[in-house]
Amino acid sequence: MMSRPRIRHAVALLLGVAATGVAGAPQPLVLQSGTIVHLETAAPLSSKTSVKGDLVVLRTTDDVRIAEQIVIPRGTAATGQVTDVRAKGAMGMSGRLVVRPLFLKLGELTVRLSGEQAQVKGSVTAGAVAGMALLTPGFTGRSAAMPAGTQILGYVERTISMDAPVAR
Amino acid sequence: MIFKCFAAAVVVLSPVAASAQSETASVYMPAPPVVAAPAVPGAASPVMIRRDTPVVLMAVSEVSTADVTPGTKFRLRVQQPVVVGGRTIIPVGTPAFGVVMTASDSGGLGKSGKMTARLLNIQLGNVEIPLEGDTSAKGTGAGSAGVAILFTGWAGLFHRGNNAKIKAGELVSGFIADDVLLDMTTTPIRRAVAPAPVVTPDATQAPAAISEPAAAPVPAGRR
Repeated sequence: MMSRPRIRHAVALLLGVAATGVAGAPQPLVLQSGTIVHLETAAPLSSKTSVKGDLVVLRTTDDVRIAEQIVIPRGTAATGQVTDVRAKGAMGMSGRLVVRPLFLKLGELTVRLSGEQAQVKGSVTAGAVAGMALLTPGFTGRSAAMPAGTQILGYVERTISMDAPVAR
Repeated sequence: MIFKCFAAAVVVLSPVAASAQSETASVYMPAPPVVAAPAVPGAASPVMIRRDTPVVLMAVSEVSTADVTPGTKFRLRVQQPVVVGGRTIIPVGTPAFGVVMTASDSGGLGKSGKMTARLLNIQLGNVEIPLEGDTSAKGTGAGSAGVAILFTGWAGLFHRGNNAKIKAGELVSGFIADDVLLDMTTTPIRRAVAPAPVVTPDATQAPAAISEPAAAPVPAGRR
């Protein structure tokens, strides 16, 4: 049988260990708004086939870290949206395509993104446009094409607190 | 007594072991949803739709600057279901609403119309789920009055620009603007009342809880 002082000592020891464990518990990670997220398009897009409002697949090109901890790994899928499309037109009017990042998901957690809108235009030189327009008024410009891997700079729109990291 | 001490040690040490395990982590892996998962399995428990949950909506009919003015409400529908914990909470086809914020009509000399609109809410049963998100539109393809005059003469001065439109079928994306707790058991669906916070049996808080009635507000005239 343990004597009462010994029991008290054992309980105090256990409580001390528990307190140490709570103090060493991992803190929630805070992903600050404005954190840069490098993105790229996952598939080629064109003003020929895209419609305003289309959702497009993006992916991250770099790890996003907080205190040396990777919170958004490279290659994470993100979602963007086509915000403007202009089809090529007569008299050398070139196509236009604008894509903006919307969000990415980490499990059930949504990280809202904002930022630079990737914009491409069909490339036809002004001289060619003028010349061709005089000769053939029906001459059309080129469709805007956005190849896979086009870089888009995104920013975390809202500060979010993540749960403690879990071993993979 | 010894057994009780041992059991207490096991319970107390378990978080220590868990934290030690997590220290080896180098990549953030999101923990499973806490609130989304019902406390009691089944349809009886309320469901939380978290703020910032993405939603994809579709314009039901065309909204044109020819017809609308700032403040005009327009209708959309949910295009992709909102799923929480593997359960479809907002099905496809659920009505949603947006409002026109600015609208400038097209005009002479090829002036195109412009419009901005923002999302208002999803109407799920009796619940208005607030939304965040906006969209803009500009009349396209009209060309300038100068080009019109070049090809059509003075008649080009009467060349009007195109109206800005949100076309029927156009996708508009937004986000849930606030945490919404839903009671899915009622018809129609209603907001659920958030459960009262659980009072922890903490020694430091217990006296405060007991002394709370003594600190009840006194009518101003009696002070």
